[in-house]
Amino acid sequence: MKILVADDTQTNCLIVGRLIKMLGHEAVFASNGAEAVRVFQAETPDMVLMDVMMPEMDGYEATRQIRALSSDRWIPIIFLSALNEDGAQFRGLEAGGDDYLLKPVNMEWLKAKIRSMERVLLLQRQLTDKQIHLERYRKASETSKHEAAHLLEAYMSQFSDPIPGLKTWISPAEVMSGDVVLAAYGQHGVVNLILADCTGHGLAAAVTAYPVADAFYTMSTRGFSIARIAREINRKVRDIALPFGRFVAATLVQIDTEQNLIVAWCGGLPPAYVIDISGRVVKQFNSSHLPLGVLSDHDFSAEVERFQLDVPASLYLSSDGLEEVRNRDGKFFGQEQFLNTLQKLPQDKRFHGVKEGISQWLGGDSAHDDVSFLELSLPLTLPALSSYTLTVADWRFGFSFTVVGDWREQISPLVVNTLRQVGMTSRFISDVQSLLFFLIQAHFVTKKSSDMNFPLRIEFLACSALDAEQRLAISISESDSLPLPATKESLPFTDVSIPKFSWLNARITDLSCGGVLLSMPIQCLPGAGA
Amino acid sequence: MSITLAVKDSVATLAIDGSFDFESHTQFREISRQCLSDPAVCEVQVDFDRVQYLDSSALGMLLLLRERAVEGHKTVSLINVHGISRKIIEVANFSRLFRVLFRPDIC
Repeated sequence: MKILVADDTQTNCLIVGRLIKMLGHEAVFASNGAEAVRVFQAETPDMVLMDVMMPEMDGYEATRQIRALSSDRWIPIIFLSALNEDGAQFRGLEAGGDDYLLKPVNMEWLKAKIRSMERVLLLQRQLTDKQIHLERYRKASETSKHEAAHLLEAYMSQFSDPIPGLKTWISPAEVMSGDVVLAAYGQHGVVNLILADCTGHGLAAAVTAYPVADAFYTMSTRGFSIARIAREINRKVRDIALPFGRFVAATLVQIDTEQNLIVAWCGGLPPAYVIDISGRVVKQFNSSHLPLGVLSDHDFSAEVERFQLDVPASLYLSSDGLEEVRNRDGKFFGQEQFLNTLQKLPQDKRFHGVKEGISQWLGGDSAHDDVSFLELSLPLTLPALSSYTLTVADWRFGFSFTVVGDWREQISPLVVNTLRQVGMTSRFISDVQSLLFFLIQAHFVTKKSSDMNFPLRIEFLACSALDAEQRLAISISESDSLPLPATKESLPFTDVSIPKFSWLNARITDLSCGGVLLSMPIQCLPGAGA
Repeated sequence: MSITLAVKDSVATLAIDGSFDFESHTQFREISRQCLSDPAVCEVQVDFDRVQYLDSSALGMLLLLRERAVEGHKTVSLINVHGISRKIIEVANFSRLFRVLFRPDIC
């Protein structure tokens, strides 16, 4: 330790200095208060022994100044004074002294005081070091949490398509959320939704959320049904999360925009509601399964519930965090209040109304669990794309296979995978699939066949450089032998547009050799030639 | 939150008092391990009589308890389930995995 001795009497300095050295410490000296402050700044001692009566500046004032200079750390200051009166001792402690010894100083007493202060000082330093260490750790942890949250958000954003009439809200309990709210275009005018709650919150939950989002989006765009998607997510989550007691409560919904059909798989979350414009609940999908990731693939049930929607309505999904938002008295927001809010408000005010209701219930506090909420207005009309753009053009590819059973599930993954690689957006692919299925059905009709096993050849061609009109052609036939026309002149089109897909400006024709061919204008980006 | 363990014949009862959540994790794991390693125990009962709240991490703990119990050929049942616990366990459809005994709510 370095100890500052402030005394205007040389002899005192000498005696006390000798004692300090004897105790194994270093002594520095000042002969008045002002000098004491200067030496304190220059030498940063660990302890101060302060005389009271000194020229220029007395010990009280010097102590006050030293205290002001060292607000971030504690320096023991012991007054050594000949003033033997209560008032003097009191003023010394008031000025910021820690102890008061009377002169002439009893050396044994001073020794004991220095040792006692040293022990306190040591303890205090240890605490400060720990605190600094903790603070550093906390800051580093906060920083990495924010970075991870940012990364995950960026990753997750690629797993969602913009859907008209869809509103979503996620309010994380911590920096990161374990709730997943996503929407994706599926095949054939289908839109898929998922609202999932990965158990726990923070990083561990968010990490579980990633494979859920990935599987949902990838499989949706490849045209898998939600039953298949739910099964796949179940398998993935069971492998990675169950060993840690984690699972994923989720509701998956598939909306068939052409037939206005809602298909839902619900495991472990509060009910999904379909509420019409008058506030009537026209359908309630209850949780009928265990959450995802609990059962083995063998025991898993992918049974879904279907509902045919006949009236304009909105679909609402929420996580249990929403019902379990607590106010200051510990009372839950509750399912009833949630439903009441939805039912009493006009359709366009409900989403905001629920958010408002939750924030009022919280009264400025933050929720202890992730809260998420989704609204989708139905019927869902997919807007026509103003143009269909390809980033890779001048290609052709085809598939030949024998269809057994549900041809949609068999064809979609193949087609989507390939179309994605030539740069089609998921929305473009969704429309192309609709056309493809329309064509296959048309082909069926012309064949007048009821045979469920049939050979099928699907061929795609994109051309950008043949003439001014850039086009995508799709042909359906029964054999490998059907050649796709290479130039515009050889395209045997009649100008028959497809009523259901009028916005596509597509033309369709029967081919003489027993197939169907469709052609639609597209735009190829400059330099898109393969 | 506190957990007490009582073993009578072949039945071990874990009575949980208070909020059954992430904070309970260490204690719950310790006590479950204790009764699962007891060869005399055939059935583990988790008593929800005094549970005021349970969250999803508690459900996770129950799943882990069940996994380990099944390995040791023991069964797990949830007893005196009521109030908010009942609602949460019903929504999660846990009755497909555990024997669940409900008790009426006392108003």
